[in-house]
Amino acid sequence: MTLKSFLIGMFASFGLAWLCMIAIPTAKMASLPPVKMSGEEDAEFYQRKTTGRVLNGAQIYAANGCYTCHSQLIRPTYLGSQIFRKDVAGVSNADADTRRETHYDDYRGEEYAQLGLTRMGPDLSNYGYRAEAYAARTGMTAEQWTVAHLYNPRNEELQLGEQGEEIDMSWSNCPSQLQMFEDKDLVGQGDSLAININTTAMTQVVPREQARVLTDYLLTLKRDSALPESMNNAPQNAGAAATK
Amino acid sequence: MSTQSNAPTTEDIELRSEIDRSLRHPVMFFFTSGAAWLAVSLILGIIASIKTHNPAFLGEGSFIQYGRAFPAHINALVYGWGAQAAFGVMIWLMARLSRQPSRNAGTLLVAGHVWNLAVILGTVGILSGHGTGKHWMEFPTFVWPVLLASYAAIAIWVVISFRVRRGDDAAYISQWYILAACIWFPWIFLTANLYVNVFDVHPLMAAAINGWYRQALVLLFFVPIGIASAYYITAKITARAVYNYSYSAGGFWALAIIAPWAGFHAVMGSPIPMFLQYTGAAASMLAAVPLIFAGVNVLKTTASNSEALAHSPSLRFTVAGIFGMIALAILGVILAHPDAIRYSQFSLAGYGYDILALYGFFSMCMFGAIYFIVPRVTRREWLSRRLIRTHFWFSVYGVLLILLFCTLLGSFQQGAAQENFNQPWKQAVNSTYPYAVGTTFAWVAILWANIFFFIHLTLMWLRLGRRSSHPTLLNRDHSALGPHGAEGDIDELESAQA
Ligand code: HEC
Repeated sequence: MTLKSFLIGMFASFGLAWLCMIAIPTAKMASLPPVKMSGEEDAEFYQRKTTGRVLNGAQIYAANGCYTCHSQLIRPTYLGSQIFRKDVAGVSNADADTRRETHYDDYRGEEYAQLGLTRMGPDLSNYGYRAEAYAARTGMTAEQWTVAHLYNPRNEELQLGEQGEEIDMSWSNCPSQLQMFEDKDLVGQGDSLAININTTAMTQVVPREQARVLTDYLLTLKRDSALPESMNNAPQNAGAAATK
Repeated sequence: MSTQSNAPTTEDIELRSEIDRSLRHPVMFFFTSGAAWLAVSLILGIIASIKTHNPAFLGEGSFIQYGRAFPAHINALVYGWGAQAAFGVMIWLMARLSRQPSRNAGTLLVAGHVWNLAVILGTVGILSGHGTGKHWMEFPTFVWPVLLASYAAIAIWVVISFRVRRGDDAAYISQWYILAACIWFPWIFLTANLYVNVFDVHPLMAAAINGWYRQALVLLFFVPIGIASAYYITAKITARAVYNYSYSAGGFWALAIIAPWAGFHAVMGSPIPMFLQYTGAAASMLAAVPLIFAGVNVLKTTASNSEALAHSPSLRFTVAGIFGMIALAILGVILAHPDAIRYSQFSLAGYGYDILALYGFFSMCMFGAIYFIVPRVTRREWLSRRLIRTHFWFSVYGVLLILLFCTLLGSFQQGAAQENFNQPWKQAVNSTYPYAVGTTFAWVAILWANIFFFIHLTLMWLRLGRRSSHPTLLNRDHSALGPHGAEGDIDELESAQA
């Protein structure tokens, strides 16, 4: 082997793969054409919006390693059955069934799709809905519930069963984000997101900006928006359409 | 492969010791600071592992919470230890095989310091909550250009010493592997960092390229360096030529052709083009072929020399590393199989694969090389057989524990519990509990092994090794018998001869 033939071989073998796997697919994915919601002439274009605050929230999510334990991906049924797990892939009740796989537009506005490394914790693709449900059961707002979870995930007052009984959460290894909270003097009614208010010492534990931004981000996680007909291959929806 | 079949001439010996002397400080710097990073990484790994079964350990909400300790652990392992061990071996091996003493020890040392500084800043960055959240690229984004620049200052000398090599034109297979790794690394590193951190690409493509990057770094950087070192060490110590040269060349080109396509299966099931996912899975499985080729070739070279295997620490670590590589090839086939991905994709299996690659295979090969190189560049022998043996067995048991018990059993158990969608999530978390505890134990064993390794290595750099003309072998006393002639102080013996 001469150096010249070696170098040619190296550049050809790596270069081909690099073009086919990296350069060309990335260019294609960067300019996906807009898709209409249905085949009709005047149908709207499909779009999903996110704001700057969500972007910051995603950064806090990344910096604290939430992706090491939480995924944000509903795989197709031939690769797993998370779509059937209760409230993970969307809402399904008597009125509606919005469960679906993840779509390539679901991460719009984020820099990086946090698909996740493991599922030590549950998938968060549709956490926004679950937060609302947990909050309703405990008489909080979804924001309060999420902040309380960030403060102490092992707080059993946060998870109530059908009869309102507390469910043991001591098994959770979700890390507490204590560093995102601070002690403040209690003024007036206190902060609506305060964790615990101590009226004798006149102090309260309140979330810092980080926790609020992260909470906002988590609550936007509702990745079940109706997809254009041409893209929706969620099995249960196809079934529903067929029985209509 | 090498010239040891014909007895070396005095000129040869002088040239070799000149090369060794010229590289003493850079090589020892890379090995020793690498070993220190290995210890740091292991401590972080233990903390992260404990946090999965005992989240309140050392306090909550701190800089070592799982989501920070775990990425810091992996990045310290990859860039702090793995890359630096690779640099040390690359520089020394290329100089020896090209028969060129280094005239740039100073540049190498400066680049090495810059590299370490960057890794320190990166690790502190992750722990203080400035990680990027892109696996194996979690260092804050200002770090990667620094790493790349200091890499360039190191690798350029490796390439140059190849270009100006002396003697026969035909290069050894180890040289091709090292040269290839020198070229692949910046290409992979730059591609990944530009696409993921700089260019405005689709968020899913960024995640997919991150998966590709991790696989490429293993297959196109750590694997070729590990193989290069294994070929060299086995041929040297058994004093035989590589079993089959055309196998080794074939193995090299198979790796070059297959490996760059691998890795996209990390994001299988996500809405990126299908062919990327399945090509990635297929290539990751096919990559077993070049690994097994090279592995069998190395093992065949050692096969007839079981005595050397029992005595030589370098050979023993290397052969263990090669078994690690074959296991890695097989695990790669299992984990990239679409039927297994259902269970393994979001379980701890990916971590197990990384550990097998970085420790079970790569680090073991590097330890083999280090046990060979360090006595030559310091002109001192290893102090203690006991320490070497402890290092070996604790490493082997630690890796086996992680691989068999935690990666294979644990992750499929975990995956199956996740798939069981009618059961509460608690079950999926609880099913990993025993394996998480097992992983902690394994890391403690490996840390134990490497603390002694680090101390041993530091003493060697301080030139407190044995002043002997006899290498430290694993199961023989340092007697005056044996192939090395009368034992005595190496410096005195040589000045007496001169
Ligand atoms: C060590 C793994 C781990 C890490 C890291 C982790 N989590 Fe969790 N998380 C879990 C587990 C396990 C659960 C399920 C038990 C529970 O609800 O506490 C969970 C549950 C949750 C839930 C409730 C989900 C639901 O629907 O019940 C939210 C919200 C959450 N985590 C957010 C986060 C955020 C934000 C981060 C990053 C700061 C994070 N987690 C990091 C393991 C982890």
